[in-house]
Amino acid sequence: MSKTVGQEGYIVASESEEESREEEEEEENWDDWRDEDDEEEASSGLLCLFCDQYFGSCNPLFDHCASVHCFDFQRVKEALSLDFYGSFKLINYVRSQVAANICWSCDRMFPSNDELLTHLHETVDVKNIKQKLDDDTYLKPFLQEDSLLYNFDDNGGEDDCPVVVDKEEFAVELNTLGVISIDCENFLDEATSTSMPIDGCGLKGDASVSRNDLDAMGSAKKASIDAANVRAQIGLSNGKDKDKKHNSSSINLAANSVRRVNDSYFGAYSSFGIHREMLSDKVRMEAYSQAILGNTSLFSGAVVMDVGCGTGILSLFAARAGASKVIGVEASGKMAAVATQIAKDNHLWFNDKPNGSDNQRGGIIEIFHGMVEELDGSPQLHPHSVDILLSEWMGYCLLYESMLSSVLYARDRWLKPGGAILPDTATIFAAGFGRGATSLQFWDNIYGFDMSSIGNELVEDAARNPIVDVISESDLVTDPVTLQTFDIISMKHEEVDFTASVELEPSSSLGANESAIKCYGVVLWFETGFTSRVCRETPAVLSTSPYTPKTHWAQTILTFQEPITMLPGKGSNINERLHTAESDVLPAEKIHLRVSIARAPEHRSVDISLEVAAICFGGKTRTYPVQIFNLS
Amino acid sequence: MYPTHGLSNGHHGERGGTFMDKRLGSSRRDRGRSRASRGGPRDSRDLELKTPPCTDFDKAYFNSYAHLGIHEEMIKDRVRTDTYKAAIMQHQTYIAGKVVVDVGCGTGILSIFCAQAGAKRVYAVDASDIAVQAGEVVKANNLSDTIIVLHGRVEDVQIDEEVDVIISEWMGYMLLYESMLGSVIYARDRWLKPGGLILPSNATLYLAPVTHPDRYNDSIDFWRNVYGIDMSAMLPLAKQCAFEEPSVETIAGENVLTWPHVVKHMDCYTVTTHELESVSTRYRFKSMMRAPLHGFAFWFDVEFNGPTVSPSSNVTATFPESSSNDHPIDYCQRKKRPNPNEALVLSTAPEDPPTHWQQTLIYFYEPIPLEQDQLIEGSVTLSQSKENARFMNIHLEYTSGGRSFVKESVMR
Repeated sequence: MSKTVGQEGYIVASESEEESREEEEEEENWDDWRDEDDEEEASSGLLCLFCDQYFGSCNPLFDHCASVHCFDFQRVKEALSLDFYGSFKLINYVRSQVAANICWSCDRMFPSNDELLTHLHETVDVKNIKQKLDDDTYLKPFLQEDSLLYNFDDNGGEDDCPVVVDKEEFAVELNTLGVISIDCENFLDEATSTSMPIDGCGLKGDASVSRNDLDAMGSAKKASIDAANVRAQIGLSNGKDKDKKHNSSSINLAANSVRRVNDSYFGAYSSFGIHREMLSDKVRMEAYSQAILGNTSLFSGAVVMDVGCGTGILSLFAARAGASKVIGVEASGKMAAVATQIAKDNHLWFNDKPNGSDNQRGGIIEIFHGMVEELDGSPQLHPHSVDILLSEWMGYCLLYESMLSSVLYARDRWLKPGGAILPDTATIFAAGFGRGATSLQFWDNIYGFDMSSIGNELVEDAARNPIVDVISESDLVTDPVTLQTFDIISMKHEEVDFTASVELEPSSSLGANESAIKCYGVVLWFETGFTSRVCRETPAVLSTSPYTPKTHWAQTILTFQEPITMLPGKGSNINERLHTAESDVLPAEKIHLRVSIARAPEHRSVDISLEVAAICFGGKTRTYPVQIFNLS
Repeated sequence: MYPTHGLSNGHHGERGGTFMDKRLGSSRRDRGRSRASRGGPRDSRDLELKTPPCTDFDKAYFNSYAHLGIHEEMIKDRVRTDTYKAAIMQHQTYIAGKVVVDVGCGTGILSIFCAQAGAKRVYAVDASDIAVQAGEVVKANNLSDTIIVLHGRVEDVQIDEEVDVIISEWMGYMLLYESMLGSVIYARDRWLKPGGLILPSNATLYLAPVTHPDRYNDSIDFWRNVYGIDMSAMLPLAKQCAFEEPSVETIAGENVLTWPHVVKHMDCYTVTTHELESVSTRYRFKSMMRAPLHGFAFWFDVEFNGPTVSPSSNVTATFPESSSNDHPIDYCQRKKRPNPNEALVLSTAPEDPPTHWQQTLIYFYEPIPLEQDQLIEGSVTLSQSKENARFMNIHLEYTSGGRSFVKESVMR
């Protein structure tokens, strides 16, 4: 716990101490530190101001606070022009607020630390904080033995090359001198101008310093800063620095919530990539922006609900299109916080009048943290009060991990009768693909050797596991067919699971005299429609087909157990060509497919069952065993 | 083309990371490498030929190699496959009539090359289910008389004779990540005749400072304007996501700020598993240009020297941890060591043609502005993670312009 993965920052006292432990063993001055370290590993680290992560040094800690908790220490410090004591108080102030589950910047109170941690924003009212920091009670360390107070950099982060300074030595030193206030700048100047070794930099030679591998100048500077820090601690906490015992209750408290924090953190972390991918998906973005921004008469003055708003991009589009109110619903706490912040950062976008920040159409977008099914308690929202239901709910193969049921729930609960849903239709298509879409060709000849057995193994494997990948139009060997169409406005909940039967015929582009083709499986894709029913001004279609530019959804590839030979040409010269077709089995005229897609017991995954029959010329039918694909 | 099960630097999400990987470029799992033979993390100090237990990690690792898509990627890496082929042909006179063991044979392509070069017998060993396919391939090419496919770990299979040649393509990302070198060492100590041939014969891991404004800005600036919307609120998350963990990607020679430093040189004839547990070195770079320093890149090369060549021992870049306070030694000013024997080199350096290993990048959250000739010094330690023996900890310390940093990252 004392070391955190993936943090970067300044070389720290505790680490260099670890490395040089053996060498320093004989130095008595170190006894206190070392005993403590042995007893309690965590004590060598600096506790985050917000959560219970420990850091080896200040900068990774402050980086972490800035990146994870939106608390940029240096920025706040600069904004308030805090001096050393101000910074000292700032740390204690934030710690005391966090302990009370109160937001440091807006004073909002939360029922738990977890919820506080998901609430984050940039500094809103610095003056407010400035006033609070005038309170001298924050000079008292909030945590006993708060290592951060000894270590935070008091020099704008430019010279933070900490070395360990023995606090007791300093206590003695400073007490002897009777000095409480030392001009840090003088120390710095002296240290830098002389570039003297650390032991001789004016600290009476008594400072015990762990030399790490830094250049002497940096060390000297930091030593002087530490001196100041140590002095401050001594001056302010009545010599409590000699009490090496950590406040164990606070550590326990911290440990208790670590897992929960990590859960929420990793939840956000893991979903981060997908947000970027989705926002970078031009096909997706253009379809939605056309459907929203191209239909301002629909959106003007409307109340809009965005189900699963993520970063809130669609909510922002809706606001830009003239919505009077947008309710974004997001189940991930972190993303809900981010979406809220983005909405705030962009509030000028909704300002009709270019001047006057008071005049802005703020408050258009509201973000609810939770599932759409949990919105009922919200007092601001009345059932059947939403004009437009907006969502990007589609998953791989349309239904994998999809939020369609949530959208249907929202429709039934919140949408006004006759309200609009965007998109309002969704269609799944299927087409057969040929050898080119498999790896077979590749393995036929590897450096002159036949590795086709590996290609065959790959095809066998693909007959059990669906593949999500981009398929090329040129690898399709049949015409596409519609497998299933959903009307989001009228469909029932149970219709999300469906079974459909279709027939695939050889591509009409293939001439009547083409030789036999082999169909290795079917590829599924979907389109969603923003039809003229709702988007009267500018209808739009979002297509994930092999015929249109690729999207992050790609296509879903289901491979047959064995390829089916087909003969194009609708039976012209069929008898003649049947003879020339080199196949032990009768070629098929078309392929009959029965496809079922159902939500699997595992949450959000789907099972696809595929029944295939080759319908041969002359009416004979060859059926194959049912294949089950689990998309998970 | 097949989905692999892995992590790719956080670039996959709740919407089915399984499928996301291949569309977003290389997943590290694409090339997991065994530590089966590293002697098991905890008993590798034991230099005796004690058979390590097959851990769950090992099983997962071997399973990952049963996914054939990985092998397609490796074979398609022509730099890799062509260099191995050329090396085998270069040593054809030695290999002809000899007994060869191919450690981690995969599809069996290297075994086939050796058979083609006239080997008397080739033992192709792989613990992954790919061995079954390798057997099929051998049969299909009428090489069953020469190539004996053994499905099992090197530590477990039975070979009742000494061998003249060990061939293996054991290198992982940044050489040592999940590398199979331990298996090669095991095979060497168990079966190799004195004076036998090991291909490749030696390997070198390099480190260099890099500048990469495009990559850095792309990861950050994207969020400043998304369809006209300011999403800067995503920046902290974006930085963490993009730069917290090592990233396997291809950079160009011009991204490299100066000559690389040799982190570790290994002679396959003498290297021990003990040496691989923790690799630590101090470095000192002088930037050749004025540019922002965005991080460090690792890459490696391997050489295919013949058995008569005395192992190069002039490069000593590793230090026991206890000496980390010593003065930095002279860093390697050469990109490649002199190669008088015209040995073939398989290089994964940024200036050389790209391979599926690419380079491994460690990015900083904030770039450091560098002047020309500015010094960057520090140390790097690569060690097995305590959290999961399969992971590698990368501990980087760097000092430049009077500021010092530590970056801890984990290659997962």
